[in-house]
Amino acid sequence: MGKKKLLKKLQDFFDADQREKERHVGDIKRILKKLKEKERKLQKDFEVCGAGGQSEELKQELDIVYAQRMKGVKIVKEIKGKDKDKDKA
Amino acid sequence: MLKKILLPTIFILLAYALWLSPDFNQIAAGVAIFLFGMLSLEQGFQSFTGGTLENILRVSTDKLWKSLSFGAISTTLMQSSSLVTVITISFLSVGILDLAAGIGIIFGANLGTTTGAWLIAGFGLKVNIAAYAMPMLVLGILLVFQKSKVLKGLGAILAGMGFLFLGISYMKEGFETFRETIDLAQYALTGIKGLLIFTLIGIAATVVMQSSHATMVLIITALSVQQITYENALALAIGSNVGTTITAIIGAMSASVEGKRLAGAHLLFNVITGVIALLMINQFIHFVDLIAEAVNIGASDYTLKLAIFHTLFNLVGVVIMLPFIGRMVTFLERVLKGESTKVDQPKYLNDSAMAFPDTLVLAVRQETVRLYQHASHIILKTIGLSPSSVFSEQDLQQLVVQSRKITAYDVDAAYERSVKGIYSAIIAYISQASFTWEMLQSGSLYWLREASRHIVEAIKDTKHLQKNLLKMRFSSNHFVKEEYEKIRYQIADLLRQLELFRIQAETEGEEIGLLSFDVFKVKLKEQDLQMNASIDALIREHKIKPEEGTSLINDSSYMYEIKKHLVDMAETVFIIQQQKTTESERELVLDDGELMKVMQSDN
Repeated sequence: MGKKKLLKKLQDFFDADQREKERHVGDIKRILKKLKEKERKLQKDFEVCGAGGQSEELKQELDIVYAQRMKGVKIVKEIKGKDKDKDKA
Repeated sequence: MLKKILLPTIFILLAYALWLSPDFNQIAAGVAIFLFGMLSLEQGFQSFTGGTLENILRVSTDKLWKSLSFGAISTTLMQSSSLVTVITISFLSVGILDLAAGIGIIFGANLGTTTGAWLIAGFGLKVNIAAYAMPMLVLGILLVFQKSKVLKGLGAILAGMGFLFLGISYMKEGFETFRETIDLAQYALTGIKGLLIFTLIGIAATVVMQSSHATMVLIITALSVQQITYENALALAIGSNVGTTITAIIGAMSASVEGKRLAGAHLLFNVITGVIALLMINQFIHFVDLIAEAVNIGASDYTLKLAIFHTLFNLVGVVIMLPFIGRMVTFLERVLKGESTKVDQPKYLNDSAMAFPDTLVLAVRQETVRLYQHASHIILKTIGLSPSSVFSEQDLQQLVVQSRKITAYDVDAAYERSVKGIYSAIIAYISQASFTWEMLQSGSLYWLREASRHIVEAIKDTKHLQKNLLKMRFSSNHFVKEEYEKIRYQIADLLRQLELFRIQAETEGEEIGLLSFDVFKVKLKEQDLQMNASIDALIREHKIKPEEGTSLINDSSYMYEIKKHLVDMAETVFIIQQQKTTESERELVLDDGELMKVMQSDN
C-alpha cells in the first residue's frame, strides 16, 4: 500500500466525522438494499395478481418504494459528492 | 319504555284536568312557574360553577363532616339538590371524589333541601309574596339581557327567585279558590291507611313534577288553606322525600356507573328514612310538638310544624345512616360494577427503568403503546363501534352499517379516566429523564413524546367529530348518512390496519418499518381528496344542502387529522429499531410534495 493511501486510511481512522459519514452511507445503502428486495417482491406480486383493486394498491406501493429508493440514492450521491469536494480542496 | 309511556299519560291527564277546572289551572300554573323558577336558579348558579364551586368541592370533601356540610350549605343556597348532585357525579366520574364523599354530599343535600319548606312556610305564606316577586322578575330579566356572564348569572338567580315566589303566590290563591269548589279535606284519610295512601300520592306527585321542592310547596300551600289535614300532609312529605329518588333513578339509567351508584345511595337513604318516619310517625309528631313549643311556634301553625317534621326526619335519617356509609359504598360497588372510577396510572414507568437509557426508552415506548390502545378504544367507542369487533376479522363495512345508531359516549370522562393520567406521567417521566439521558437516546424520547401528543390530538379531534356524528343520526338525508358512514369506516379501517401492523412489527422484528408508513400516508391523502370530491359532487347535484356540505367538509377534515395523528404516532411507536437506523430511514421518508408526485403518477 502506498504511503499516501496508508496516511489517508490512518487519517480516516482517527477522523470521527469521516467515520460517522461512512456509517451513515452504510446505513442508507443497507436500507436501499432492503428497499430493492421489497421492490422485487412487490413486482412479482403485481405481475401475479392481475387486474383489480389489489393490483392498484400494489402498483402504488411499488411507486412509493421506488420513490424512496431514488431519494436514498440521491442522498448517498450528495454525501459522496461533498466528500469528493473536500478531498479536492 | 317507562319514560315513553309516562310523559304522554301525564300530558293527557293534565290536559283533561286543566280543561275540567279553571281553579286547577291556577294551581297548575303556579307549579309550572315555580318549577321554571327553579330551572332559572340552577342556570344562574351554573354560571358561577366554572371554578369557584369546583375549587370549594375539592378542598371541602376530604372529611365526612366536610362533605355533609358542603351538601347542606350548597343546597340551601341554591335551593336545588339536583345541581349539587350533577356536580358530585361529574367529580365522581373522573375519580377526584370518592363514593363515600359523594354519599356524604347527598346526605347533606337532603338536609339542605328541607330549608325550602322553611322558606315557604316561614316567609312565603306569611307575606304578600307576589309583591316581592314582581320587582325581582323585572330586575332579574334586565340583568339577564346583559353581556357580562356574572350579571347574566345574577339576573337568572334573581328572576328565578321571583318566579319561585310568584309560583307560590299562584298556588296559594289557587288553593283558596279551589276550596270554594271542592273541599279536598273531605277526602282526608286517617290511620295507617291514610298514612300509606298519602305517602304513595306524595311519591306519585314528586315523580310527575320531578321536584320534591314543588311537591312540598303544593303540600304547604294546601295545608295552609286546610285543603289537607296535618297528618296527611306529613305522609305526603314522607312520600315526596322518597319520590325524589325515583327521579334520580330514572335520570341515572343513562348515566355512568358513578351516577348509578350515587342514585342507589340516594334511594337507599331516602327509602330507609321514609320507612323509619312511617314506623315512628307518632313519635315524630310528639317531638315536632315539643320543638314547636320550645321555639314558640303556635300549636295550630301546621305549616311550620310540617317544616320542622321535614327537617327532623331527614336529620334522624342522616344520624342513623352516617355510620353505615362505608358498608353502603362496599355494597354499591359490589352490586353496580362498572369501569374503574379511578384514573388509569402508568404501568411501565418506574425508577428502575430510568437507570439505563435503553430501558428508559423501552419503558416509555411500552407505556405509549398502552396509551395508544386506550385511545383507540375511546376513538372507536365515540364513533359507535366496538373495539373487539373492529380488531376481529368481521367485515368492517357490515359492522359500520349494523351500528348506525350511535349513542353518546362521554369522551371527556374516558379521557380523564384512561388517558390523561398516563399521558401526564409519560411527559413527566421524559422530562425527568432529560437531565440524565445520554444524547443517544434523546432523539428517541423526543419522538416518543411527540407520539403521545399525536395520540391526545387524535382523541381531541374525535371529540369534535362526535358532535355532528350524533346529529347525523336524525338526518333524513341518506347521502349525508352515507358520507358519515364513510368517515366512520375509514377511521376504523385505519385502526385495524395499524393494529395488524403493530402485531406484525412485534413478531417479525426489524424491517424497513418506518418507510412502510408512506403507503398509509398516500392512502390518507387519496381518501381525503376523494372525500372532498364526493362532497363537492353532492352539493353540486343538490343532493345535500350547502350547510350539510360544510359540516361534512369540516368533519372530513377532522377525520383526516385523526388519521394523520395516528399514522404519525405509529411511525415512532410501532417501529422498534436501532436509533441510528431509524434516523437514516427518516431521511428516506417521502415529504408531502414527494407523496403528491407519487399520487399524480398513479393517476
